[in-house]
Formats: sequence, C-alpha cells, structure tokens
Amino acid sequence: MATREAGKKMIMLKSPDGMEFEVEEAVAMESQTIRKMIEDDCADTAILIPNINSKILSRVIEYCNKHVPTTGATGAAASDTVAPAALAEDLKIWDAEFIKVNRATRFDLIQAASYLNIKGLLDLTSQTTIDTISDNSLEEIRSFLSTKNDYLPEEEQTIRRENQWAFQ
Amino acid sequence: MDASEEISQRLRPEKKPCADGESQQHSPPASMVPVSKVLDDDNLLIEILLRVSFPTTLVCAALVCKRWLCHASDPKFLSLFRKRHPPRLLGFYIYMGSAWLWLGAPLLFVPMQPQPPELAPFISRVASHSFGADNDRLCIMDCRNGSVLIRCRRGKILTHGVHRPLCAQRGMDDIPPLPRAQYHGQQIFNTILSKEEGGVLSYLYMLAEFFRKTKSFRVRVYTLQGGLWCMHASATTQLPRLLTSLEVVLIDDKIYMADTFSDEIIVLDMTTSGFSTIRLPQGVIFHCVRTIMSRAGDASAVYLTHIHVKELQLCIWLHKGDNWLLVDTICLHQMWDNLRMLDQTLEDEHISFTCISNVGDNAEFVFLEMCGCIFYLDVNSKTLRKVHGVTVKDRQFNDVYPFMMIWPPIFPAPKDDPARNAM
Repeated sequence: MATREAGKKMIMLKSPDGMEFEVEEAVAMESQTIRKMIEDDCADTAILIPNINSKILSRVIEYCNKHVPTTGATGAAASDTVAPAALAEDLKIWDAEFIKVNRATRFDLIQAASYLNIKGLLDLTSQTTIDTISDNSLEEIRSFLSTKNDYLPEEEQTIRRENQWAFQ
Repeated sequence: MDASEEISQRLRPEKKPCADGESQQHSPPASMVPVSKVLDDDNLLIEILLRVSFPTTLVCAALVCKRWLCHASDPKFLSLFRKRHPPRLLGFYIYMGSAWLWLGAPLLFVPMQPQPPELAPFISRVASHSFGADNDRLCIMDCRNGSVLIRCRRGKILTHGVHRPLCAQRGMDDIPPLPRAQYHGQQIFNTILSKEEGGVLSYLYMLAEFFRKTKSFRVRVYTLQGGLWCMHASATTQLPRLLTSLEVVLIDDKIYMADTFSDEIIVLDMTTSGFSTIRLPQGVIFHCVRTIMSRAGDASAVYLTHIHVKELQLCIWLHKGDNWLLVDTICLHQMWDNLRMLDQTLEDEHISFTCISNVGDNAEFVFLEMCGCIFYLDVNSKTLRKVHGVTVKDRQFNDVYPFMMIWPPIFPAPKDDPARNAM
C-alpha cells in the first residue's frame, strides 16, 4: 500500500469527535467544499470537518474513494482498460449496496453530502426521500416525513383548482 | 423500523415498509432527528425538491405544507427546476381524414413513446379528451402549454374555443368571433398567436391585409380582454410584391412574418408599431414547408430551421443581436441511413419529400414529414425516429401540433413566509 500511495499528496480530515482520516488529496477533492479550501490555500495539512461525526465521515470517504476518477499518477487511465459502460454499471451496483443503511444514517449522509458539496452522493442519498414524495399520497408524505399540514382547506383547494392538470 | 415507516406499513400492508432495506425493529423517536435536520434545513429541502422529476409531483409536494410551497413557488427555484427538468413532450395532434384543411377535420392525438410510467395517466387523459359533438370539422389555431385553441365549423358558422385536455373537469372556454377585415379586394392573412407569462396564456389575433393597388401592407393586432377583441396595435408599411403565404411567430412584443420565396423576415414591433426586416442567412430562401421560425428562451432572439433540399441538410440558426448564428447542421441522409438499419420498411425515395411540420421552442426537436409518415428528430441527441405511420396519402402536408406538459404551476403568492420567519 505504501508504494501505491507514494508520490500522492495525502491530506488529513478530522471529525469533531477526534478521529483522523488520512486520504489522498484527489479523493478529498471529490468534495467541492474541500476542493475550494485546497485551491484557495485555506487548508492546512489537517482539515476539521465540523458537524460530521467519524461514523458518517468514514462512509463519505468510502464513497469518494470509489468515485474518484481512476487515473493513476503515471497518467495511464484505468478506465482505458475497462469499458466506460461496465465501469458505470459497477458503480451503480456499488452505490446500491452503499445506500443500504438505516434511515438516520441516510439523512446524516444527506447533510454531509450537502455540506461537503458532493453532488453524486447527494443524488444518491436523497433518492429515497424523492421516491417517498413521488410515490405516495399527500397524507402519506406528511406522515413519512413528519411534516404538519398547516393549510386551511380553502387554501389547499385553491392550489388544487389552479393546477388541476397535475392531479390524477 | 421507525414511526413513519410503521405508518407506511399500516397504510399499505402490501408495500415494503421501506425502500432502503432497513431492518431495525425499533428506533426511538430520536431517529426522527436527522429527518428534521434535513427537511428543516431550507437549502437541503430545496435540493430535494429540485430532484423531483415531474411538475405534477412538484405541485403535490407544494401541498405538503406552506413552507414547502414557499420554496416550490420561488421564481428562482422554478427557473432552476425548469432547467433541470425541461417540459416534456407528451404527444402531438394531427388531422385525420382527407378533407381540406379550411373545412376542418377530426383530430388525432398521438402519444410520444417511450414515457416514464408516472406520466401514463396524464397522457391517457389527453388521448381520451373529447373536442365535442362537431369533432370532425376542427382546425387547431394554437396549441401551447396544455391549451388547444380550436376552430370549429358548423355549416358556414365558425366558432372558436380553448380546450385543456389535461384538466378533465374544465369545460371549453369560448373565444368571441374574430374581427373581420373592413375592405374587400385585397389579400388577407389572419392568424391567432399566443403569449405566455408566468404560466398564464393570452391570445392575440393578427389580421394582415395587402392592398394590391398601393402595395401597402397593413397589420392589425387584437388582444382578448374581458371576452372582447380589442385593438392592440396597428401599423402599415409598403411591400415590393404580392405575398404568397405568410408564416408568423410571436416572440415577446414582436411579430415575425416571412413569406415563401422571400429572403427576409418582416418584423413588427408592437410597442412602437414600427416595421423592420431581418435578412435571412446567406443562401436561405424561405419556404413554407421547408423553413420554420420558432421561439428562443431569450425574448429578443428567434430560431430559424431550414432544409436545404439539394444537400438534404437541416440547418438551425439563431438570430440574436444583429447576427445569425449557425447552431446546428444535421445531415438528413445520415440520419435516414441510421434509421433504415432499424426499420426495413422505409424506402430510400421517401427522404426526398421532406417537410418540416413543426419545431419546438429553442429548436429542441423537429417534426419532419416524409411521404406521409411523421418523424421526430431530437436535436440534442441527433436521433431520428418514426413516430407515426402512414397518414392520409392525399394530404401532402400534415400539420403537427406538439402537446407539452404544462409549466409552470400556478401558486398563490405566500401571505406569510414561514421559512423566512423561522430564520
């Protein structure tokens, strides 16, 4: 492992509960937030990631490790040998496994993906919530997402009337 | 299983309790904390709402609570949503039968396939819409944003009305009789134009007259106000020759008119009642079935799509500022060859009778007619496919009216802003 990582710039990510994660700079830069810190030279060798505990941060790093473009230091792209379609399929299967987490973890991951600005992870983690909104009745959405209805019946009626086309 | 998923299972026992394979038996109410941490965060809620695929789902989401409505109705959000999910083409109308167009004909709605299953109920609603008792004497005057303005002929009487096939319970809105030309012995071109602002569609009626003797060309534009056609603009100019046919498109406050075999577009600016002309790109002569103008996202720009018959090339230009920009050149021969590999029934000579039937806003798609069949050309992906088989052979040129999903939703202005108050 040491030889593989030789020559690659490493960066330390620290969670607020005191854990430290050494990752390749390229992996950390999957996060647009960290990328900006590095590019603006605001980053020391260790970056504290507030609000994201070590359990979630380790999952985020796992995701970034998998999704970092697979170009080696020598410049030979690994994707040259594997067909892009196969690579995408592999990532899809991996993502599906990755997201098999409980609800609390999923929402923590949404928050982390948003804070760290990792578009792919945000797409992946918010999909279940989007499905909940897309596939359920209004009452079900409210109860699943514990949101309270604060509409007066006539207010709800107005929106329904104005947008009749949108209802089945 | 946490509270909400428990409810989910109670409500729909046949449904899997959760989509993510969660297998915990019990979670304390504390498991709701991350949910509210996400959904109470305005930025995250916006990110999630932006990822909803269809405007229909967005309308439902806006009904969850006022805070959700507040985000869904924000103009900035709506513009981002539109960019992410451009309005979908649900299908198109064509005429059936061989009657002359001025007599009217029955309409046929052809759904575009494939479509996501979520849209199936909406498409079948449009397909099953009835245009009324006299549905065999119809003529589409305008089809835009879910509204179809129909002219219906009963004997010598013409009536006009607006149908909204997606709104099953809403009846037809009557359109008052169109203003008539005052003088006789001149050429007349009339058309209905539509304008869209914030999801609200308004209609204009353009009556153009060409007086042979004086070669003067007078255009009058009426708008529909409180159930009456009111004069909106009137302007006169001189034209060098008789007009053959006039293709018209309204963009913002400008009416673009082009005559077959002409090399320029006549523009009427309704705010100043002044005319100007735009010379067509080098080598393009306007032709009523091979050239078409269409709207651009930018109110001051216009798209021009033209088929060069000899080269069988479809060119798309954008006129912006004072210049024509060639946006796309598509070789129809090549598109045709690609398609023939998939569809053996197509014959080579079909391609030589190519007409443009319609072009979408921003020239995103082009409907072509070749030998009675209708083809859909996706400009972005450069793919051509047959979307309707043999139509009526004796009608050389079949109009196609694309029917798009409605956009944007109409939301009431929020009285109080809970999202902002909470901050």
